[in-house]
Amino acid sequence: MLICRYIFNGDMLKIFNDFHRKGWLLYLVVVGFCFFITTITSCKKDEPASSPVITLIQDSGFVYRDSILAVNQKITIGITAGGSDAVITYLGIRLETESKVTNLLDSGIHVRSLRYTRQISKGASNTERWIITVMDKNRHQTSVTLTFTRDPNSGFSPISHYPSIMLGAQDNSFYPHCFSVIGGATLANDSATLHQEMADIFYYYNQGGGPPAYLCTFSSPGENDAPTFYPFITNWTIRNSTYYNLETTVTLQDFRDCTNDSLLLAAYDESVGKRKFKNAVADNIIPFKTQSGKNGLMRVLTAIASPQGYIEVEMKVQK
Amino acid sequence: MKKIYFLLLSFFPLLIQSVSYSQQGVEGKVFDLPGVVITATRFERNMAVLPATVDVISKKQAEQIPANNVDDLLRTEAVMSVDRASGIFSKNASITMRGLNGSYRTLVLVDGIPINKADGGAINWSRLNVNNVERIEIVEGPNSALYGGNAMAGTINIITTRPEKKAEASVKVFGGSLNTIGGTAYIGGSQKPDHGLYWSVNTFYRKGDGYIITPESLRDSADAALFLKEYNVGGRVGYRLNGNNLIEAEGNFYDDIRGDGKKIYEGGYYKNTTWNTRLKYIGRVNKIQIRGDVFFQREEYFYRKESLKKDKLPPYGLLGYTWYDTQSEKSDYGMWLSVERDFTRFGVLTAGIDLKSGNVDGSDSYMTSTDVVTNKGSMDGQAVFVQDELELVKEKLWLTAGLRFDHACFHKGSFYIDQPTSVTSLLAEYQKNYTNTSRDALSPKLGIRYILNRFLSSYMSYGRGFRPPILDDMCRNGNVTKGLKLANPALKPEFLDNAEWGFHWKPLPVLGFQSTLFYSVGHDFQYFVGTGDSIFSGNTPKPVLMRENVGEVKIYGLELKANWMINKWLELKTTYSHTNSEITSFNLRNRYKGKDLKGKSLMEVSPDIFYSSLVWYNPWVNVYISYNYNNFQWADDENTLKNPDYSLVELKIRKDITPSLSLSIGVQNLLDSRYFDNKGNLGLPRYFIGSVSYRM
Repeated sequence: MLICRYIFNGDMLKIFNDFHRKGWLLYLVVVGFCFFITTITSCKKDEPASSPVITLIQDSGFVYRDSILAVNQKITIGITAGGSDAVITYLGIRLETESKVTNLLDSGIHVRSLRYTRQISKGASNTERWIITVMDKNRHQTSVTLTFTRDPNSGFSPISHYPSIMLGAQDNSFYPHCFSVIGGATLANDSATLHQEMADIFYYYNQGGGPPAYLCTFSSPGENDAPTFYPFITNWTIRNSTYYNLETTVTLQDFRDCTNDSLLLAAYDESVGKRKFKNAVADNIIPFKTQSGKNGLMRVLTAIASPQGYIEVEMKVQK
Repeated sequence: MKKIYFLLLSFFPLLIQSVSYSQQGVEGKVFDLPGVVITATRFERNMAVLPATVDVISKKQAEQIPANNVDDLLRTEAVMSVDRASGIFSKNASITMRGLNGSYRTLVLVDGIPINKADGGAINWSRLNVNNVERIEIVEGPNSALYGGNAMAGTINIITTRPEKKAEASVKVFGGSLNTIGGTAYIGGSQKPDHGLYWSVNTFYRKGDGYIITPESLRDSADAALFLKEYNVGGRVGYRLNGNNLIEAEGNFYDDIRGDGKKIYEGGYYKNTTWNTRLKYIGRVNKIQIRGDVFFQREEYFYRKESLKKDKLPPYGLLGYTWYDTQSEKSDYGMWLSVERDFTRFGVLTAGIDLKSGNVDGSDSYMTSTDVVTNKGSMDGQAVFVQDELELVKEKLWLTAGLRFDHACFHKGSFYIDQPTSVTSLLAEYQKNYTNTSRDALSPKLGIRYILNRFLSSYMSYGRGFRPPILDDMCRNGNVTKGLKLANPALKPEFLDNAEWGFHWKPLPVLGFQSTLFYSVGHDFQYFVGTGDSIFSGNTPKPVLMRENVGEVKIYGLELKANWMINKWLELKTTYSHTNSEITSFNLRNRYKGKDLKGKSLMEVSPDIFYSSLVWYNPWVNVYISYNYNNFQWADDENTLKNPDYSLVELKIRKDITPSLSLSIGVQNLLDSRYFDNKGNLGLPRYFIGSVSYRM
């Protein structure tokens, strides 16, 4: 009330009008205006800039120098990165061979420092250049390169051939739903639960209603939709992921002629691996790679498309 | 029906009072509106003789309205819906009028200079200082015969304040909801009102904390409150040689930063930095009036976007975290020259040449991969126009006829990726320099205005409007919501032929009605169509899309307006429109794939819009209250997502302590209605702004 009386009874107006008549207000407006402009247009300091530093992990069991490796030889490489004033936002791994360049990992991250390890197996090509790149938020990049040359004395490895694997869809009570690549056997639900580390491939038929419909589907315990069809997977402590290529140039004749793992290594493209192979039909050839690093090829022989149906495949996989 | 009768009966005593008020010879405030407008012809004309619906928002009216941005003023006079769902925190506003969505289908001028950008077609409404508006003129319907591109749904001309006194200044400080604070300042001076040097400088600053726009049920840890910080500085200097000749230079700078409502690590935000300069000459040589403008506008757009895809888990992604910065430098510049001569017998002839260019140099720089995606393109346009206004029957019948030819050339178009990774692998095959393309547009106009008597006049008109293709559609490839968008450098303009019939009835000096019936047919409307290819992104195939001229549309509607100065204290304004916008043909030409949209309604168009405001003038305070109803809108072209109808009430109370000092409080969304924008985001909750302003 006091404020209202002060405003409306004229005291404030009198002071205000005095101020107004003497032109002080205009002066104040101009000074205030200049101050305002100076404040809002003042410059900011640029952020300091330095590039991240990558160090190859030299612990026991890690390969950290250019080396000669046998085909399919498994090794572990790793890096630590940090030292930049800015956070690290990208980790990339590129594999360059004589015939192609593949981005194996393009991962967005947001960390001050980083330790990354990866188990790799030497492919069929003569030379592999593994380029690991780290970039910070200021787009400063640093890369390290490891070159692995194929041991001329090493040959391709033998493979396992399974002429007929029968996998039932989720409502099929006759055939098991799971296949173990390591064990070379189909697994009933109880056996799979008991040997979770061996379960690599699950098959289900998805006609929609939950996840989008994609019919005859190869999956794995680690795939997101698999527990919808096999709820017991939810409680598993080990959930392997198998990755499938949706497209391949491998022909039926190539598949038939394959007697060692050279085709299996060449056929699978790690950069486009998906955790589902959807809409499988007869004569599909499907390159895949298991969590344990085994490359393989599957040929679909028969697909009975229903929740009670089954799928029959022929498989060639690294031993 | 009973309710309507009751309403009519309850207004009857007010009507009697208003008749007696008008008979006392008191001029109502409805006639404070300027009778002369510039926008309809490029030179000053009496509104009453124009064959068009023209609306004017004066500074005095603008001060009554709780407007925080210039676009807040628009819905108060013309029939249009303004989508600024998050209020001052919105990234931008979009306007829909005459059944056509998108600011890119409406030409916006500031002091006669076009500010629609060649890159996106739209304008940045936020950079316009609402306190610097002298008046706004809105010419409804197509006007490409005079202005060329973008003038399809209408032409809005924002005329800014010029100093008239030897020294004048104003300051305003304000604060309100969501921690909003800010201020505006203006100083200027003029040697004489109609002669000599004049100058002015103006500025505004505003910041606020915003709110979370994601509905509560959909929120996750990445949702953050919007925020805002913006300022503008502008200056003008001019010299009036005499009453007939004026030369003026002007410059403006605007900078803002606005949160996008997401924060994973860094926080997403938009940033616009805009410069614009202009040199203007208005003069008269013998019987010829000349107007020439040289203008330049440059915008540096920046958008930091973060996202997290949970399906990209190890070993193919550590986090599925993506962060990229979009940077885009957009320049628009040109020269407009128009001359006018009154030939008396052959009418007033206006002719001119317009040159306008726009270019974009944009990039997406990924911070979570090495890729830098760049797109570039330029569009140069030239146009000639001529218009004649003839008084066929003295003080009774006027004829206006006009024709304009536009030619535009797209060139320097390119799309490339530097240091590509798998993140942009889908775009790799589309890298190229685009071939140059050109397009033409011929825009005729014909209209007559007949003044039957001092109470009633009518007009009929036909006009064509077009909007040119935007550079973004012609040279940028990238992800859009529906799939992967490919650039189409051969894209053509879309056209609208419109016929309308308007009435203006003023039964009393204090009471006026306006009605307009319009029927429009649109050709070559641009829609996304599938090329037949698909790409795999994640687990689902996405169609490859391209913007193409495939749609024919039909729009018809009715607009009604009433202004009533009930008595010397009360003023009522009401506008209503009903629009039907339908796609009548969708020609995929056996080349493209996609859903046939024939029979679908145009998206983001409310079939019914109602607006009513009541201003109460009294010795103590002025009170403004308004009610705005927008019927449902389709949020997508396929008409599968529907935004429900909503109503908003606004209030402003203003107290002029002295002629120089005033206090006000404005409230947007007074009833705290819950509503959503076209992307499903929550609209602004009840929002207060209190202000103190002083002028001298």
